[in-house]
Amino acid sequence: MKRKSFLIAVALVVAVGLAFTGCSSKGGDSKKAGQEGASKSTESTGAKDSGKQVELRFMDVIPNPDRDAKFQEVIERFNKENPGIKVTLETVPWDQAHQKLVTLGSASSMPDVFVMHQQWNSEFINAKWVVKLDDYLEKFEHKDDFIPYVSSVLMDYDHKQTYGGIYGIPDGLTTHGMFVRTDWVKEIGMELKDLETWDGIFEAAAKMTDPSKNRYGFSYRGGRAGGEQLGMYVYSELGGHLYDKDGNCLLNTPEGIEAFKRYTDLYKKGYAPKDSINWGYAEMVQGFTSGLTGILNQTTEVVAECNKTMDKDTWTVLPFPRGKDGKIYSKADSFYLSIAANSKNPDEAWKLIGYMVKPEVNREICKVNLYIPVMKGAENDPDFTEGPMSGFLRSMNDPGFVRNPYYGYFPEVGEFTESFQDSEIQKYLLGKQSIEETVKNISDYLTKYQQKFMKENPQVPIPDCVAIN
Amino acid sequence: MMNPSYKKKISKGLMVFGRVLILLFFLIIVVAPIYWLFITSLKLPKDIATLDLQYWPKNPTLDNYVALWKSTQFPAYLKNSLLVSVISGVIVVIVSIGGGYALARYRFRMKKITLIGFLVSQMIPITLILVPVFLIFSRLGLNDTLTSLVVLYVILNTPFCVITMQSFFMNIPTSIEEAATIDGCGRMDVLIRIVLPVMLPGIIAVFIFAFIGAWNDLLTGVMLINTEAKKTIPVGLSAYVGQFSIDWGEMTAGGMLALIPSAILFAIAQKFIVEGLTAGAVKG
Amino acid sequence: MKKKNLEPHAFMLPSYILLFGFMGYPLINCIRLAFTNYKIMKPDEVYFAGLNNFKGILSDPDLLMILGNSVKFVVITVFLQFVLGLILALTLKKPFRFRGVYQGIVFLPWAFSGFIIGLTFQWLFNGEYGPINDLLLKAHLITEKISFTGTPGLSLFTVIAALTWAGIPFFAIMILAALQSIPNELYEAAKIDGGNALDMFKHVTIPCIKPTIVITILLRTIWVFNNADLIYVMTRGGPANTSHTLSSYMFMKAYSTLDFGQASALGVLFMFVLVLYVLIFLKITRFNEAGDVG
Repeated sequence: MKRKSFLIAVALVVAVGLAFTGCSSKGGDSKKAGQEGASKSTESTGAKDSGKQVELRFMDVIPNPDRDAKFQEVIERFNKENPGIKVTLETVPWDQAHQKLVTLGSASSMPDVFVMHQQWNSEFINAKWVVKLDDYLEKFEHKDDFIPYVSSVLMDYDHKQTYGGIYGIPDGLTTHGMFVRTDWVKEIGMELKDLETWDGIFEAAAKMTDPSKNRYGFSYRGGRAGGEQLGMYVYSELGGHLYDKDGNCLLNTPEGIEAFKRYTDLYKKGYAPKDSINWGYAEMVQGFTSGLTGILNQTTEVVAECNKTMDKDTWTVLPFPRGKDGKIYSKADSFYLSIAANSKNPDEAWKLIGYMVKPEVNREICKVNLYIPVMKGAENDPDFTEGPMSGFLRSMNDPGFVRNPYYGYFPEVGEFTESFQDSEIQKYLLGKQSIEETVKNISDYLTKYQQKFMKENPQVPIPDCVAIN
Repeated sequence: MMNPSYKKKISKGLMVFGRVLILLFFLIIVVAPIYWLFITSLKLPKDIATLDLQYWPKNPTLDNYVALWKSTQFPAYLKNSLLVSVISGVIVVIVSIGGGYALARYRFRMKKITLIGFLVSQMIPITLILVPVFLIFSRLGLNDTLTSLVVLYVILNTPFCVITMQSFFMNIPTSIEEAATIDGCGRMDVLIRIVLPVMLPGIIAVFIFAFIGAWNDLLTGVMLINTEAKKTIPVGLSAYVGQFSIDWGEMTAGGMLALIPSAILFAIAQKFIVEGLTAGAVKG
Repeated sequence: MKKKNLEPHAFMLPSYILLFGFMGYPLINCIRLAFTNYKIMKPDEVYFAGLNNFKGILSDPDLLMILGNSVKFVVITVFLQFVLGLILALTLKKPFRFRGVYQGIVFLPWAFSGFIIGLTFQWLFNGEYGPINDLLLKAHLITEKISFTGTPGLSLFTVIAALTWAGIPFFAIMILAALQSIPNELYEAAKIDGGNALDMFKHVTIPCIKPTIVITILLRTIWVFNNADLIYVMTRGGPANTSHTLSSYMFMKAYSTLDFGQASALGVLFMFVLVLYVLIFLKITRFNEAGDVG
């Protein structure tokens, strides 16, 4: 009897012991994970003094063979130029990237430098998982070489004004353009430049559609984050504004409802395949590349996919369509290179980031990844001014280019973009609820959380569009 | 008037026919999706997602296999997968023979709680235990090692295997052991010499379960492994699911190659399952 | 007496160490977080939250529809997997030529990672490029393509089909192993008593494999209930949430806001429901009446 309870006791002690060490490690680490990079620099010099090589982990979140090879090459060069530092490349597939970084973040084990998606900014910055880079940037030799959009919108407006500091350096821009089937446009008797306005897009989508030939005008995205595509048209009708000064959402207005209706009619009137109600990224791209749909609203990276599967003279990329006021309501996003708060060597980590955004290195990386460089100089490079990439560059450099507002910075944004908005719109597409009800639900949701957020964070500007050119 | 033996023949013939039909049914259901993946692995990118479906590739090619071999560390993935799956499978089998035997053949106080505890461990969604498990591994200095995967797979698969092993022990009438005990064999002797041979099919089934559990795991593999050379097959292949498109050609090529070890395992296991029966019959 | 009491624990020790050692802390942590306000994005606002996390879950307007989906999803999937697995195992029991090869092939679905199965079935059921639509059209069984994943009601069934496909081998192998472990003497004894095939199935086969059947069904139910991967990959719960189950919907919600408190509460709630289910199931099937030799 005694022995039995002894064994049970042993098992319990093991369990509790582990529980205890686990708990205390968590507490300790979160305390250690200071927010300021500067406070850490003493530690890192310590590492250097001992003559030891500093090891850095760099994690990429959208791996593919070409991209991996380029990063590997750049890192090897960096390692050679900096004998005291050894960087290793790690990759995590996009679908699992967010969850992995969240897990690593909660466990204070993030890689020293990682590629952060724009949508993760508010999560990671609020969770204090990334380091403020303002001091480093101040001393950066190329700090004045960023193109104006990057410095004024992505770094100043999106980071400094919103979060009180810059927490990541953009590494390459991607913006939207309209991928079109040039041969289909010719067949319906329209000119390519007719498709540079939203009216032209709607007209062409209707004319191209011929279900008997298995042809549809538009690659509609009804699934994951499809609401964002719809939003791009809605903003062009609302002049790029989402909230009034009290945080009331402006979608639920006659113009807003009308814009919702016109866009969703692409699906409702059958200008998009029936299946597209549940399409996400991959499916809408596949719809276009396989010759099912004639128009696709997508970003620069998709050029690679089209190059691979389509005949060269059947497609091109047009600048993003203009709204009725002649402006282009679009966006240009970038991933950010960020330093983890748990990094023991933030100074060396910064060195790596600085190297990767150096004008010539950045342009080299962007060419492989099909991004627009964040540093000046691309406007003289034929790789960007000719061919499909030029459509994107023309969009971005257009005097009427307007960056659309974000939905907000409240924690529920993730739920809104990942599920709520899409399922509400799907309910309308399925005829389960009216357009008025749909827009009202979406609008009320945004108003509710934006107003709550404003009360708690009065210093953060209300999301609005930004015009820079 | 029908001759009874004739009648028997007809019913036997019908039985055989029915059995063949059932076997065919399962074969078609199983093979169709795998066939689709297989021909996809032989297609050029432009032939993969087309409206004009190709049930045999118009331009058959081995490019995908070549690219897979060249651009990834597939041999390393394969080695890692085999290593963690086999080792964790063996450990799980040993642990669960002990646990299953105790649960099936003894009465003791903690039994009910233990059983419930094991079942509860299967109910915690894996995403919820990732962070604490990660912290434990950090403490032990096991981050980014194959050892951490082995340990985790053993933990994740043990509860099911112990319970299943218990059910296999319970399937065997206690009379077999009683007879042997009377003959003067010790308990351990009885277990190893009499019970385990009868149990072989169950042991093999449990091993397959643990092996496959480790072989197929994506989530914990992604979470715990960072270094390219330490990735397992599913982790390596998931890189083909990109942000904008899926590289079907190379992914399916990898999927097909990854099937080979499992197919061999299943075929060997089948042999053991049959032999287990005869061994049991002889000794019992 | 003393010796006998120690024995089972000696056998159990490795399992105890593994389980309590590595699952103990995560479990305690999960229960603790369930009653804590713990949002990753607000690291400075961690406090005891009472039942708030649970209230947040139970007040969701779509809860009832999704609960119904869950029941449908679990019952249909487990039923199909079990019945088809049982039939396959029974058919495989007697030897035939090429049985080894046949078995090597027919168990293959088990050897695919979940994400590959999900992507493949999503493609097979695709409303435009899917071979299923194409073959149905060619066989003149339908006149226009069906949007499987885009139609409420149908989309959940694409997930069920994929999960069933992947799950049959599991049941088949487990049941087959149990069948093969039945000592031949039992059949011989039944034959001597003059039983026919059906009698033998009822009085020998079923009782002998019952523990295995009970346990596999029990655990499959738990796994299917908790399985959200395939839903994420194939339908993301769409269209309009009609293919969400409790675990896919709730975890998507909790994770997209990084509310770990709510996610943990959800885990605790699921565990509570599942423990109830297990207790009832074990009671009904009278599973735990183990024999004691010695």
